[in-house]
Amino acid sequence: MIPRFAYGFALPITAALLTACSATGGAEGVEPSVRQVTQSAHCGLTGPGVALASSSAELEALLDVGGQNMSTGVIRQVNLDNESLVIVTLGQKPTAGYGVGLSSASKTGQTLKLGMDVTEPAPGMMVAQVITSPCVVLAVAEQDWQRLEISGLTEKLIVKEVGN
Amino acid sequence: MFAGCGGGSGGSESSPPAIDPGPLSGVISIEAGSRIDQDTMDQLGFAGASPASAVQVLPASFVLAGYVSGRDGAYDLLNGQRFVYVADAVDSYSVPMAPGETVTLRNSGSRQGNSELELILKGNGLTELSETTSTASPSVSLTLPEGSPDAVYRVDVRVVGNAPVRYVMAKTAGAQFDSLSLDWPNHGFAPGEAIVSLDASRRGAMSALAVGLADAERHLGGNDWLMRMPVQASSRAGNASAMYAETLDWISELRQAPGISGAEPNYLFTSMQQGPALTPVDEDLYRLQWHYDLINGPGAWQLAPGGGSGVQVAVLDSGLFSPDRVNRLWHPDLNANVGAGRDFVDGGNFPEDPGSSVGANVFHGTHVAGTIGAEVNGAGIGGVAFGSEIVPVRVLGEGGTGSSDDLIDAIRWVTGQDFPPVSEPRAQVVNLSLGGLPRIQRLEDAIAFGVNRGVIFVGAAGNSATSVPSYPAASPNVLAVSAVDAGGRLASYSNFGNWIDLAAPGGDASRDGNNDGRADVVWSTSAVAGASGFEASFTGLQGTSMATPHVSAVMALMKEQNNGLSYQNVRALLLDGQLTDYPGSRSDQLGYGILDAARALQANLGQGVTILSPSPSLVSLSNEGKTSELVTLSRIGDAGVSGVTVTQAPDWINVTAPVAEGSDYSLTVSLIESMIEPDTAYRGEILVTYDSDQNGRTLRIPVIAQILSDEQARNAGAHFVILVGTTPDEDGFYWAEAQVAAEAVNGRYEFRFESDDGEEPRRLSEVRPGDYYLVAGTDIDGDGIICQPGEACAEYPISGLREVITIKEGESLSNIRMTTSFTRPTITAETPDILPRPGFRGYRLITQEGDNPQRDIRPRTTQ
Repeated sequence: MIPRFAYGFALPITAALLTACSATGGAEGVEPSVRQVTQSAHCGLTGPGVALASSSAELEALLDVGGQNMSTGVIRQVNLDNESLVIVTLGQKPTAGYGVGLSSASKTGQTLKLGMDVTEPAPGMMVAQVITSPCVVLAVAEQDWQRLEISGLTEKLIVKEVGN
Repeated sequence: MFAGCGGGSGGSESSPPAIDPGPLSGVISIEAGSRIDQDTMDQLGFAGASPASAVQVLPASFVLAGYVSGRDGAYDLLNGQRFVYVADAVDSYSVPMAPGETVTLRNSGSRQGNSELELILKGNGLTELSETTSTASPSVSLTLPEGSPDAVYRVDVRVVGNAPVRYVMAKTAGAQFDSLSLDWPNHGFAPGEAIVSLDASRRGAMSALAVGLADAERHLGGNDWLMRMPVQASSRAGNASAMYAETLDWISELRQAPGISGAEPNYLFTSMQQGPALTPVDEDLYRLQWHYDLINGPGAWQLAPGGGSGVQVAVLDSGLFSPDRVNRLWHPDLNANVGAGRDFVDGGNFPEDPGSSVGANVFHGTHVAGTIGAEVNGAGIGGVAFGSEIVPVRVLGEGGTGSSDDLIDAIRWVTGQDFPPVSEPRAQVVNLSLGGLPRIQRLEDAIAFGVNRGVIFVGAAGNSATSVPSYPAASPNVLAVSAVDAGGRLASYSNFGNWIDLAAPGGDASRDGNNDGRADVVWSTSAVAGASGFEASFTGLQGTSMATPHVSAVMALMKEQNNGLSYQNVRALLLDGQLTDYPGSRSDQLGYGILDAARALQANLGQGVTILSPSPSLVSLSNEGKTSELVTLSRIGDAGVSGVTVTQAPDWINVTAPVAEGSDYSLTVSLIESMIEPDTAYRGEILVTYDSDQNGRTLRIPVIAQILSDEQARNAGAHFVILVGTTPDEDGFYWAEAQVAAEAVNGRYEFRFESDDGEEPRRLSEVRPGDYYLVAGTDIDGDGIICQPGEACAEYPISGLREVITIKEGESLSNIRMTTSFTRPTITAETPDILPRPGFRGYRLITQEGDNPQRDIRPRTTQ
């Protein structure tokens, strides 16, 4: 549902990771276990950015966004006791043909670094004239990261402090 | 200190009309639900002011703007001027909340940086909830958990950091979007419905209805009625299969009832033969399809009950969803209407949209095809041309992109430009919900070949909010369709320009132009990933892609009536204003206007059929707009009309009996305010039955109503009303040339400028002749600029679409009306042709004499 008055808002990308991080200590330089759960062309999130969900309440808030058509089944299959979900959204795009996927993942100290691969239609390409809001849903097994850096999504590095 | 600014207006007390109204005066009304933080910086700027310690009381539904700051300080100099801000670490509110309701907070930052904000919800034994904004997520929200008491809670907005911050907090009344159970199993009958035969006396109907056994839905002729299971009975059914079982139980009960000689399930297809043809109005999801009302669909289906039968519409798109490719079945709401197609992406004659292996599906072609030709079968929706045949042609591959070569090949195939050419085109109408191409001569040639064979092409204008022509829509041989929202206003994304032919509903998810409490998206067929692959579904999308098939479908309805209809004929009707709600002139935004299907069919039919067509086709009642509406039922056609009766209406309106006026009829619909809850959107429909051409006909007029209860209490904060020059300075600011201040009184602002009397010093309220923009807004962070994000803003005549206002010597512009809002207001006025504006930073207030370097050198007279 998009509230009537919420025009111009990025839809609430809620769900700062609450204190679910148990101190299980991931070693430095270990390649993190990050997998791509699904992508969607209609995530319903209008601004570029990242949302986290580590509880079913947080997840349901994200799946409740109006206009999304994500594969909710595969997302709900993720066991949030073992993995947390990171949803990286490209924001609203004017046509079909845009997408975002995971290209790299690394971890330095308590910082999880995710590189994104953004695709867009080539200039002059024929595209379906439907408004889209592409995103990718990732599942991260590591529990002890406190900071998330997303590169490749926008010109700037997107940083999300998870905190306790 | 900034507090004194605008005070020099000498603004007189409310002037009696006899007094010179001044060169410019008027009223600014306030968007429903607007509230203002009690200690914004413009208030804290007054000498002796300090942050409020009291909790501010808010209503159940509001949009509030506020200001907080971690400490005292000064903004960076602006044109050499210094503006200060004052610490106000937390704003506290009391908010009535019910479980499941949500408060949303959006951080707009300030010129001095971006502190984060913490939104806190507590009280009534609730474990304190909080969310903090971040750069990536400037909006946060908190939802009251289920099981919590329905009570007044404390909501705090606390600043985390030193810099001042503007924010908007909103809570809207009412339920969340319905979670629709869309996938009715495709049993052979319509759940909750029965075809009931009454004893000849028809007293049976009375007795059945009197005991609440059934609700008459529609008279099917003779003693047969389509009846619906009463709501109290049907609401017990928790799921689809229970609903079917209950329907059968109910039908058994009906058969025992006195006065009823027979009751049958409403078997799909059967009823189409027994009674008048069903139309998309009868589908379950019709209530979501505001877009059909907007194009006057119900009127059109009276005139084209076949729904485009015998006409083929090629959908050049991403193919169609197939739930069973072994048996070559299509989406169950499309399957019966899909003919032989072709796949130009992967080759072959089964143009399936395979979806995307990684989940990035669009199912665009499925959605577009549904708007044109979904079957009327009780399985979800009906297409505008629900009897037409869809020719699926796949030219867009995974992700919804494709090549112009495939498109050209596809058009050649559809138009029959084979080698050698086949005798007939494979479709009479071609839908092109795609674009982004430059002009390509081979594409133009392929289209021209089709046009010469009587094929009508309809194309999406594109979603780039620009006037740059997008092909194929911009081709002179293609109808170019721009998109409007439910209020008939150009969608924010839609292209525009001198190449637009007409507009149709494409939706705008950021708006609710018809106040139905739902975002204005276009509903149609789709597919969604399920446990075992993709499953048929329905979804709401937005885009000029969604507008285009409405036009294509109406072309199919017209072709059914007149197969010889050519593109030239269509253009002639278009330019004559007969396909649209033609306002009398063409605009670059809407072309010749918004598609009006009933009007188009009347024009196409000429004569022969007689129907009543309602105007307006949708009645919208509100205590802030009209509380009653005269609906004219215009007779279209030459035959007589009789037995015009209102057979059904919601209990929250009064409907007068139809009165004959010459060949037309009229009735008045009035809102019964005591019957509706304030601040809740109501929807219903009026059924009018009548006889013409020996046919019993039914006309449905949708009604929406709302009582807004807060108009006196609205307050968007102290407003500066300013006249600014029409060009910004090098920093992007528009400077005030004259300025007055206004406070909200009884939910509105009044303002009045004065003529320049030539005496020095020239007061801020004095205006000289010239061209200006008239704007108003708050400066809640006290930085000398209004209309920044998070601040109220009004522009004349319509926010976002300002127009130049010319002040002339000795003339007076009074009764100027504007609306201010923290967000974009809902507008129904006709949209003027104004281009988007790049790089806008806000309007610069005058804080002291001589501020504006341009102000005093402006010529005294300007035409």
